[in-house]
Amino acid sequence: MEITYPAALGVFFAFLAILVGITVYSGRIMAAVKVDKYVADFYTAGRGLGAVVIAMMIAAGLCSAGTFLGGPGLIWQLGAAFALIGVAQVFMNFYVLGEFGKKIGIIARRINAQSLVDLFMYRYEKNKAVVIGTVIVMFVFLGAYASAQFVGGARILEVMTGFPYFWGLLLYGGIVVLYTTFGGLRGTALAILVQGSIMTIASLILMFAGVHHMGGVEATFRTIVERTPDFVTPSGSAHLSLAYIASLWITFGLCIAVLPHGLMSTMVYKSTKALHRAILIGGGLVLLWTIGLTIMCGVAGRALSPELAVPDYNLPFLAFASLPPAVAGLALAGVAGAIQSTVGVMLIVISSALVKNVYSTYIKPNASAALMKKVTMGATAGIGVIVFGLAFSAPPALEMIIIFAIGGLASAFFAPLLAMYWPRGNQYGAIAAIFGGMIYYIIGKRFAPSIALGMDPIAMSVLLSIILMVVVSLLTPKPSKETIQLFWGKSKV
Amino acid sequence: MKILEEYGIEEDPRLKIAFKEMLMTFGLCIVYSLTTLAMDWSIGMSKPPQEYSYILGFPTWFFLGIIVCPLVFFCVVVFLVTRVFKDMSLEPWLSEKKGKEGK
Repeated sequence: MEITYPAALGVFFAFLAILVGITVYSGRIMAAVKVDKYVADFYTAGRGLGAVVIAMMIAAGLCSAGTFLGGPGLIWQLGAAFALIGVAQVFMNFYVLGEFGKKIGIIARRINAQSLVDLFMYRYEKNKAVVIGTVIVMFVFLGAYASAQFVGGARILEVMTGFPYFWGLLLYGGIVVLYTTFGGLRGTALAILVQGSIMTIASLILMFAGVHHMGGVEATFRTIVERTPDFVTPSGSAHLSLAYIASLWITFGLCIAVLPHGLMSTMVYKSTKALHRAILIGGGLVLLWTIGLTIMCGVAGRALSPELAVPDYNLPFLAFASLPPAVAGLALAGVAGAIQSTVGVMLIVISSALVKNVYSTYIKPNASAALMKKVTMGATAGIGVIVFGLAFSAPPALEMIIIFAIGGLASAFFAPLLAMYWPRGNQYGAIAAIFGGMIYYIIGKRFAPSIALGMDPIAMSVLLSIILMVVVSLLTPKPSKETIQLFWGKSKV
Repeated sequence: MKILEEYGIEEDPRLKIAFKEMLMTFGLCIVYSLTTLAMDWSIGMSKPPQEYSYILGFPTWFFLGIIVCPLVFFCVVVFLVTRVFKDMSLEPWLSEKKGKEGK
């Protein structure tokens, strides 16, 4: 192997070294936790997370390689149309916390919930089909999402520095598996602080360096207009229709609030003051990352490189062209941070679903605390390794897999989550909505695009899933008194 | 909320507030989406890119839609969160029958 830019690689490794430190530190904290409290603490960190951590957990958890790699790639490929799509996501913290923060925050403390599956389990009368459907959807779509992340990151490392794909994947994928397994949500939260900070620094530097390198904002746009005028229109060089753009606004705007890894934050924040501040801090961060990095660097990269072998190379090429290698290494670390912060929370979410909702509910309800501790760590590591293994068969365009995964998750979960606010919704409606929405989405996406009416199938599948939820619920018996008491009542009976 | 009356359940006032705030959030999401899409599309598609005028170096639609619009709506979010959204206790239940009154 031939290593180019050793300085960049050095910065990247320094970043990984910090994460190793976090693994050791949080591992020690977790080792001191009493064994009977271990599982709850592993997944919820004692429900005491403050504003900055919650803000970053949503922002860095939902902004993945899509924002840092795939987004600039799609801008390169589709033109300013994707900038118009990108700004749909800037209020993700507000959407997640404003729509579900307080309701789920209170309910999660009533039922001791660790994940979305717990919420659905209690809301829908412990119905097996709801639980199993939720776990399957999470496993399939979050798994695909997470493994696409690893691929994107390792490939960029290889292209930019010559560091072999296999070892790149092993190194920083391995670190994520380690700190989630040993540190649980605490380790993940600490790592997210580091990752989110690196993402912010990288965005700030790259935004100014990239645009400056191309001769300023106007020169950047004029360079592109001379070559490919259509690039700068809202419809972009790919001539996207308004309907298609609107459907992606639904994906990145409306639907981003119902992703299980974003909703994790609603169960673990410590107070409503922290929640409100997390909305403001997160809003600032995502605005900076999206407009500064995804959009401005995406456009500057297009002005720099009219030809690219793979669109996802847009951002790294810009970084290495406009910055000295050691600083450009920060961009690589920023990309890695975006990827790891997302995958870390996802691993915790999937692991919680398997351990609490499948293993300790159906397989071994009376497992001892010591055994549960082992199962928790084992499952987290195991899922990490599976996701990681999937990454060895690399998919072509990163962002498309992310859009697919968000679509699948939202199609299944949007309606059942909204029914947290609709008392008449019941388990039969939820089953119809979860399976109906997901199946319609997969068919519309993979087999019969015509049922989507020229848009991404998300709009139709979410609508269908809401209709199914309402109609099926109204045709079947109303929820039990216990459920209503739990989700709406004022006092415990 | 007929079903609560049928069961004789008193609604938690905090959850009522949560519901209102959820509606406001959804409302903002929809207004933001429609405003940005409509404004950008109508300005940006009205003339060919060669004839675009520029503000601070950005094509006009890009400046208004991608930079200004999100910032303006961020101010609305700040207003909602600091002035309208309510602080509340996160105690699981407001009044436990056996113990003393909750916060």
